[in-house]
Amino acid sequence: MKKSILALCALTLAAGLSACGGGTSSYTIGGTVVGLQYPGLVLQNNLANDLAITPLPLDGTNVRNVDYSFPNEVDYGDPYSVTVKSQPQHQNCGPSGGTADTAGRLSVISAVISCSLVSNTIGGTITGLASDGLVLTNGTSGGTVPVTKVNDVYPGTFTFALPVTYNQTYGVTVLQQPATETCSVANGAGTMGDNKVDTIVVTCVKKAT
Amino acid sequence: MIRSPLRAGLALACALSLSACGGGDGDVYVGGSVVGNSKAGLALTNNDGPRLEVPAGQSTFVFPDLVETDAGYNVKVVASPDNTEGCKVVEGTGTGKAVFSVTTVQIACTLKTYPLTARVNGRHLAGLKLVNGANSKEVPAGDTTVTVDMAPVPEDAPYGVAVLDSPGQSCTVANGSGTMTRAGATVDVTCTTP
Repeated sequence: MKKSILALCALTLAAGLSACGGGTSSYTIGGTVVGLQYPGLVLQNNLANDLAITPLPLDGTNVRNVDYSFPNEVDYGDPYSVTVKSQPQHQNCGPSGGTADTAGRLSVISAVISCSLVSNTIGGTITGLASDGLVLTNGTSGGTVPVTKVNDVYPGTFTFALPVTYNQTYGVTVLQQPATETCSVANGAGTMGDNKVDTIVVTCVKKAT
Repeated sequence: MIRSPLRAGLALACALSLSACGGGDGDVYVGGSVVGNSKAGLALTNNDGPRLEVPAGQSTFVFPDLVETDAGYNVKVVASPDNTEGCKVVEGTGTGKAVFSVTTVQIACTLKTYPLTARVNGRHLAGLKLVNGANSKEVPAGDTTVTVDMAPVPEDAPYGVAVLDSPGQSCTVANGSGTMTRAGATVDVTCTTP
């Protein structure tokens, strides 16, 4: 009895499978890369099958989505997992939905990879500060840094909480002077590259009394 | 027979949840989010009911009066802060039927901006670039004083103009930083050629 039930099960399973798969049992793994602006992105499926992705020319000022698919197909029921092997220049990309599953479970395989521009903090050193009140600003929209005592001493370094996106300009100036010094900024303006900026120099000199 | 105790229970649960929420004669609340609300003066109504004042800096709001499930809601801006061009209900989010509690009403306030001008005094060479943070402007070369419009700045927002690049010259900014007022602001750039 048991054996015949098993056989029946196997038969139903097979029938079910062919119904689902429509005869084919392999699947193309692919999807969309969103926000890609620079070359260098390499994707992998199951930690192999390197696939280089090239950005498309801008559509006006808009970044276009790039559709991709791996040449090697995956069999029904086999797992797939799309990951980033190499990041493009000036950007970070990562999985953003549908990148890992079992082939055939979903009617459509669409592994979305999402990229955004690198952003880095700006900051530097402060010397000669001996009173309250210093406020630094990075223009209008880059945030401000009020410099106050930390553990009872004025800090020798500062960092803006708001990072600056790649290729954007920054310009640090003194928005408010401290009570008893006059501070000036050197090396305060620049264009953001791939690394954080910690070379802005704020020098405070005691006011003549 | 089975229905009545259920109903009683439901009524009790409703009553309990109502008293927990602070009253009103409905079951669901109406609320949402605000952007650009940096000064006191924003007031909203729902279904032309009592005014709800939204304090400066607050990015969400909820009307204290609950509405009945399935009742209509219609949120309007009845007063805007005076540092804005006026606040508006984002299209398509202010009216509807409150099947569940509504948190999707969006209010957007556009801040009034004022001019930030850089006056470049005297001779300046090609390639002079000024920045106010992420806003950058290249100044064409010239032998006389020129003014350059940086991006306008909202009232009460900080600004700080710095020299990004000045090939062949040394340029400094005087009175380069401040907080924007309704009078606008002008900063002075002076370049010296070594």
